[in-house]
Amino acid sequence: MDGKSKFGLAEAVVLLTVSNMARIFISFPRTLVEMSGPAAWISSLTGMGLSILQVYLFYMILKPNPGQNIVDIANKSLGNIAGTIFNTIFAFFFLAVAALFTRTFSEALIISALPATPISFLMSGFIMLAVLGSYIGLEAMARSARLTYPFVLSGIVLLLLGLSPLWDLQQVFPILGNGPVNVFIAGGFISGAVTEILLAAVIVKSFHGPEMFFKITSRAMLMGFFYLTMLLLVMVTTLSWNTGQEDTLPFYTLARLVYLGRFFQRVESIFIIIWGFIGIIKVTLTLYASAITLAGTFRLQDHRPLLWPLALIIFTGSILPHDMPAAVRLEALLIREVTWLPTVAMPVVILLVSRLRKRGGPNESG
Amino acid sequence: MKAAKLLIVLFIMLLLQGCWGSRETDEIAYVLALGLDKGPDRNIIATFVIANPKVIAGQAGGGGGGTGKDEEPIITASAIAPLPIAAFHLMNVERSRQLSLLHTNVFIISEELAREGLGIYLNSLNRFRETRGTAFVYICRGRAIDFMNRNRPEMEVTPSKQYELISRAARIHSLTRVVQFQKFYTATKSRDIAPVASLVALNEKGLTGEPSRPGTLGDYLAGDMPSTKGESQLMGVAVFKMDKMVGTLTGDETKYLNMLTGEMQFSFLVIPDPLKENTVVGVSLKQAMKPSIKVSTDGEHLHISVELFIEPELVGVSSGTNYESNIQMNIIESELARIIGEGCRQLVDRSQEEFRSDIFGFGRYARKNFLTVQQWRDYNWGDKYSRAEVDIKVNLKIRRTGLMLKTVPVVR
Repeated sequence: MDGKSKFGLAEAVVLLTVSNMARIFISFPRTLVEMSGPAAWISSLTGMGLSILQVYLFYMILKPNPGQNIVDIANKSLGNIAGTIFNTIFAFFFLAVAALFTRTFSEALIISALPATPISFLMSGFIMLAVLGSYIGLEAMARSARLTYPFVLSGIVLLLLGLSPLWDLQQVFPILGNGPVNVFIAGGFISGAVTEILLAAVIVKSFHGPEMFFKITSRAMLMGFFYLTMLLLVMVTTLSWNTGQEDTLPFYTLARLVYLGRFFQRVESIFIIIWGFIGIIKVTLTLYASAITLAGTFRLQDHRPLLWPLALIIFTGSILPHDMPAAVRLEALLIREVTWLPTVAMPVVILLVSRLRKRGGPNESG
Repeated sequence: MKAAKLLIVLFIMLLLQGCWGSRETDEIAYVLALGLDKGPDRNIIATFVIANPKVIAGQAGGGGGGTGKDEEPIITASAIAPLPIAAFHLMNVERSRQLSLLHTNVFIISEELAREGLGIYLNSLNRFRETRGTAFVYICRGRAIDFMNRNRPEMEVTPSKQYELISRAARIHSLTRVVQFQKFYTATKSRDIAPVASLVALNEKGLTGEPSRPGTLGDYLAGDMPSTKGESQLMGVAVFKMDKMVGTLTGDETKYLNMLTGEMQFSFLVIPDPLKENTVVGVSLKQAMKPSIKVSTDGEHLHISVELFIEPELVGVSSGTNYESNIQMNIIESELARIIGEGCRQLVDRSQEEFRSDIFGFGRYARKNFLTVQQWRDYNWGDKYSRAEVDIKVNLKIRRTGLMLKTVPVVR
């Protein structure tokens, strides 16, 4: 069960950062550029501000309940029925994220490197590794993320700097892109809708208390959004926002453009390995979080028996979209219209109810 | 248990051997260059220059086995289809090896096709997994198929290396503009810059073409420069409006284009000697820094001001005049600034009146003046540019005089 494995600040920050970075490798930057135009990077900064507010919201929930995660607090504050409903929604949200990421990452691999491989095989690979990771536990995931992070980081830095001859800084203008409403509100909300804060609130027992939760999650958000902002700036200055919104996989397109003389080019193969790793971390973490959430909801001692059925649900869910554009649309829909429910609206309800109960507590007892 | 774990690991390793898409290198033939010509009934003729594995492998392995000794290192083949990638797939019918575009580093498109519009073909090339945004785009004067059939690089084994090295060599003369596919494709869909692409052709006239005159050393289109017959020349550019070719620029005009966009690394100029008739002064040119471009969109009139920073170096003074002295250096500097200014002026006028196309990308600088994309679109740059007032100022200073600090007159 969670909480048994504990790991340090660095491992936890890296684990959440890597999970948060997963979206930059698929179509998300394209969606943001389509929404905000050349000012997509400003949307990312707005999203960063919103994510820090979310971190604070969860900190407010977790602070008075040390040793408990969001699942325990929901059960305690909302009662058995409402708590179970809330936690089941959390679990299904994680499952939906895992299913969509499994599909989009598998599609990305087919488009970029393995055109003849059946998608079911790739998805099975992702899911089997996710089951294995979730079975071994969080500590192993955190440590492997920490171990691989320098390579991921150097790969990204290499890509961004390798494209420097192609940067055209004039491309960031007009500075407000598709208008303030799109840039600050729509774009800000799309980029600010992240899974990792809720996920951190589920695995908080491994973090040495709520104070560490705040430190770890806020740092992970700052790092994750820093990478997103940098990638968007490079994407806009290299591809231009107009044609950038055409690309299915902007990160891959950028990797293919690295051309530093005759001997330093075709570096995209390195990035396919990085993608694979980041995709596995993302799917594993969300599968793990959904299993932990359900185990907590139904007061099971061990989350592991849930892994196989949940993996089957993820596989089935990921194969539902008819095609890649449908999966991307569904992902955008999930981000735009659904994510704010489990990551903001429901935690606000939990916070308010827990505060009201606390105020009412002494009166009831007295 | 240990044996079971080992078996699982071995099983996974077996599954991960490239999955279903694995291709051995000896099953593939690499296309090095792809050419596109107008074909019959809305089709195109796609020409593929394919590396001949027999010869290339023989060369790489030191000629082991002696296979392909007398054969050409490349095979040229063509197919007719509505789209380049469709033709590529058709080509596989005739080949024992599966063709791959992963190493195609040049797209050669005929002028005739370019004048009809390239949108549908570019879309296909941009979408396909194997084609790369780093490939060069050349516009061929005449038919691409003829050029590709007859172009035989003398110094390289494969034409792909030839094209790549020629492109790099363009830095030292700036008489063409080498453009990669991604940049070209982006410009065809852009409101703020019009695409250009290198012109390429074989020299059919040999040394019989019109010789250069002082001030117009590179005033040729590709294929027209007098030189050894049959050599491929990369000179000048094709000018586009969106995806349609609307004209050409000579080598000299391209040099001024590169100056105005800050992409000239080195070039050269031969001008009539201002102090002595029938003699010339040769200078090599270097851009000291990127031009300063300011665009004012206030009010009715669009005003663009460009300031160039050029640093020439004396390379030849046929009159023997001591241009190294301060006074005489001022004279030559003024003359050079005047000639460069005039060259740039004429080019800007052509772009406004003849092409009605912003090949310099001044629109990129104009975008700063707008807050939102909608405001920028409403401004209608393409229309406004052709009526814009463009000021060009040339800051020119001879910093170096080569290995001579003084010219002593010839004693007669």
